[in-house]
Amino acid sequence: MDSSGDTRDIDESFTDVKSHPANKVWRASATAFCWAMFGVGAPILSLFLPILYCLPLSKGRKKVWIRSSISKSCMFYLDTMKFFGLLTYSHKPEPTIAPHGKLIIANHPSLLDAFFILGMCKNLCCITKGALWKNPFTTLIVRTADYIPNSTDDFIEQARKRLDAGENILIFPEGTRNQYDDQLDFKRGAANIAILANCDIVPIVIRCSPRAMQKGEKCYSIPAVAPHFSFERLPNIKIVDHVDVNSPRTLQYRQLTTFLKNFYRPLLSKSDKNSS
Amino acid sequence: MTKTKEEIFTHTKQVLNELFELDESLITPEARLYEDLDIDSIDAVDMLIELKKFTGSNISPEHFKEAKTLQDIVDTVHQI
Repeated sequence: MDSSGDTRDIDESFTDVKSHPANKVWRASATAFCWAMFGVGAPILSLFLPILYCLPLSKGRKKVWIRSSISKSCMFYLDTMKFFGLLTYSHKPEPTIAPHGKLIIANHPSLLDAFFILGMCKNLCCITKGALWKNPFTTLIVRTADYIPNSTDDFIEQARKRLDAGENILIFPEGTRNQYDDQLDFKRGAANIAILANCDIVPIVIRCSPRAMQKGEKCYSIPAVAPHFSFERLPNIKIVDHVDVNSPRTLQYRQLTTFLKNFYRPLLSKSDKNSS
Repeated sequence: MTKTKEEIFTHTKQVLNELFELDESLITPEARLYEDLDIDSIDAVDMLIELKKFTGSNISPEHFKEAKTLQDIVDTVHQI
């Protein structure tokens, strides 16, 4: 169950230039640059988005523009990291997602997961942790983009209204970054929203190898080799196929959460990881 | 007519069994809602709706901000 074992396997298998000490020194400097870039970029975005917000346009259109700016910024940031050799990424089968009124879920191995999914989807609402609403670097971004903080009592109800209105919502059912790939300690929030809104679920599987920027890791820790991220969108999940809709809602939440955990587990088990 | 604490507990036990398929042996007055029974804040609201039907009194989630155990729930419902 411990991920450190397989990270070591990968380290040892890389004897080429990518794991050379000089490469690590390079990536350490580039990582410092990218953190600095976030430190500068986030305030710039925080100034730019309120300007968009004040434009005399309809609320709906402004929201689309603001979210699209966030999406482009995320992709630019990731491509910069890719350019510096800090990561590589691939999508299969399709890079962009344009569903309507769907709940998008994904496992959560790394700090960059949300950047990738926001980058892939132009107009996405997110359930974010409440701390982002207090962080000076992010507060204006999450507010102008009209995201939903998970710290409010009625965030499930807020999410239902948005889905009913046709917005797509991203939520990481684990609620926080996981410590190893098949931990999958799903909270019931995602299932609560899907059941209440009676909407389809778009499952995305994120594979990050070796694991990087995970929970509890120092921001200056550099993985032995640059991590590769891959994203796989699987067919939509229909609630009625997996939940007894005649049972009390409280049981439906549990059935769906159990189903989702069992759905992801084989996709992220160690035997499968080598193929990604 | 006000219910006794015992009646409230018996009914709560029944509600927990129906809503969450909890094993009856787990449902003791000392059981902690989140840690022992895996009842989160959304579950709690569904549970309170059922208790409200039973007692007929006006129970709101506000009353249960401090509740940690089943006994806390029973005591609070009894007071209202």
